[in-house]
Amino acid sequence: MKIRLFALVSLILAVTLFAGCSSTPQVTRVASDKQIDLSGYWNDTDVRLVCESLINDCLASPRIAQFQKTKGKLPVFMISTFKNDSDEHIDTSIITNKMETVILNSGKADFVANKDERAGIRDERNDQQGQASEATAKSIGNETGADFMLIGSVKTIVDKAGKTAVRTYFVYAELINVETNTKIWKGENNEIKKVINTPSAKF
Amino acid sequence: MTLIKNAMLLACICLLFLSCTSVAQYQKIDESVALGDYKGSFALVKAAKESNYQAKDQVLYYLEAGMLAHYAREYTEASKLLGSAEKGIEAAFTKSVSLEVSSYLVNDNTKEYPGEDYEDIYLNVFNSLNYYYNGSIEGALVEIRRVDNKLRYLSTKYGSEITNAQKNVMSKSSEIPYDPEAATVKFSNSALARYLGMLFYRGEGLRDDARIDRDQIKLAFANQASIYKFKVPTSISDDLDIPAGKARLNVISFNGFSPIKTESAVRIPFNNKNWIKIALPVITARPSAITRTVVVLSTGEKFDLEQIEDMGAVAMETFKQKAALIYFKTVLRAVIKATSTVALDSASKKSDDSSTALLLGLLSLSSQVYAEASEQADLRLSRYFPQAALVGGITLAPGVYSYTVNYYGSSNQLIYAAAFKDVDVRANQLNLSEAICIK
Repeated sequence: MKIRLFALVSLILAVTLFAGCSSTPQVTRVASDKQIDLSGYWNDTDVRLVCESLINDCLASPRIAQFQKTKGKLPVFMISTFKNDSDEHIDTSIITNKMETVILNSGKADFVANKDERAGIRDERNDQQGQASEATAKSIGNETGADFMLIGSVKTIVDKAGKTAVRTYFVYAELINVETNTKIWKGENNEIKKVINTPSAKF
Repeated sequence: MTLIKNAMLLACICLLFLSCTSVAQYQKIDESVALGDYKGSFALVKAAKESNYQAKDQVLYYLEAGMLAHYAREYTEASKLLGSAEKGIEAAFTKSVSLEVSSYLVNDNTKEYPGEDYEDIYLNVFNSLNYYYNGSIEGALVEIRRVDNKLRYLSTKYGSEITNAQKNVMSKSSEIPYDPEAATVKFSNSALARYLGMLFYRGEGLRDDARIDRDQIKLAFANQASIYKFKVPTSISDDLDIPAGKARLNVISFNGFSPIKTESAVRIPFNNKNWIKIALPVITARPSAITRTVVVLSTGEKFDLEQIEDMGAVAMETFKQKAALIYFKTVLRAVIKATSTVALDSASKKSDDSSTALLLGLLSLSSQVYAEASEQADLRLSRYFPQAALVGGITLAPGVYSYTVNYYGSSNQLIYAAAFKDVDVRANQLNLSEAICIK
């Protein structure tokens, strides 16, 4: 009886001990728009919130609509530098790519390739002049010039004392007329503000 | 009874060596660093990761490996390692209850190494250089901003911790001396970080931001005279005054070994017959053989590099707050240990049974031996940060230049020369060379 009881208690202890152990990582799929904040740093939720606000603001801009009416064509945008002026290593290309995708798919503007992409395309076009058949080689000097350049920046203000930190993100984006340097639109998002309380003890 | 006595002595000896970090583990690496073989030193540290660094010392590993990777010009690796060190330091802010309890029973060596404030600051400085060498001035500036944030946070970092610790100690014993001024940190602006910020902003064409950082260098010197005991480098006045069509070559050098921690043990009488041993870590400078650093160009031009940061002095200054906390905790722990010795001693005297009295007496003796043996200062500190940073610059016609950075000793003897061959010095961009002499 004693041996059985001992065996039972041992089994319960062993199960309890190894209950949380697994040799493979646990993966749980969640909805892509689910808010998950682990460290308090810039994450996918911030990108989504910022892009939604900036894109909606940009697409609703009366000046952009006016341009289409006046010129009789869609405005052509190109993406330039989106600077990271924050204290975090933020990949700003995620913001610009998201903005480009949504604005392009909205049908309210066209985009031309950015500076780096253009260099690669020009190389290819130059290569075609000697390598491709005359019928299929693309001609030089037929590029579409951008009407507006999209630039922007991300800045952070961090206030920290003891265990508590407050991180506020300021994201700016603007469209500048390539010919006249006038700004046709400027958007700002400073809604991302996080209070991070670091626990002082763990078990 | 002899068996019990032997067992107790063995237990004490075991505890004595339980949390010791061997200095011998660093001997080979130190020698390799002193020879300037940074690739070799980095390889040695990596090879020793499993054997020399316990799980609780991971931050130490990342700092040491990260710095040596930087010196070895393996900037991507250095950036990852120093980034891991920074994350480890952040994570260590949340203390493990079990390790914290054991540190109150044994010593602070049982705890996870949380990094020192000066390491946390300078890892970003070196990471900014890693980003620069990897072609990202934007990334370099992110790191400089992190330094600024950390420095602003430093004065409030420990908040009420010091006051609470002081209250705890005072409630146990009023005989413990303490100087509250010693826990005040007077470092909130790094001239070195500002200098790099100035260069990076200039490299980005942001002259106004560069000017602000240049002015901040002067303010750092003016407002923190106890740390900046030398003159503002004269070369910074020319750094933002480059004639059109000319190029500016900037050279930064990191000299000497960073300080280490040594143990300072004091014994304070306690309850008339007993004493308490307090073993405290003290930041101790390691002297450098270098007295002068000169850049000599193949064209014949030369200029001296001037000190912009005494990183050893910053290490000492920023350690003040933590030292105050360590002091209170050490006293509290020593008092607890001494109290148990006194209680056992007293029980031994009161016991009527001779065997029990002997056992309690032995336990009292053992607890005194244990208290003496286990009270060891936590001497962990990364060893491969430099002692000082020196800077200089020269305005040249754009072109390809070769130059050496010569390090001289007190008798004007050449200690070491770092050669830079065929460096393309261009106008309108940052041309920054870094030389290292950890001697």
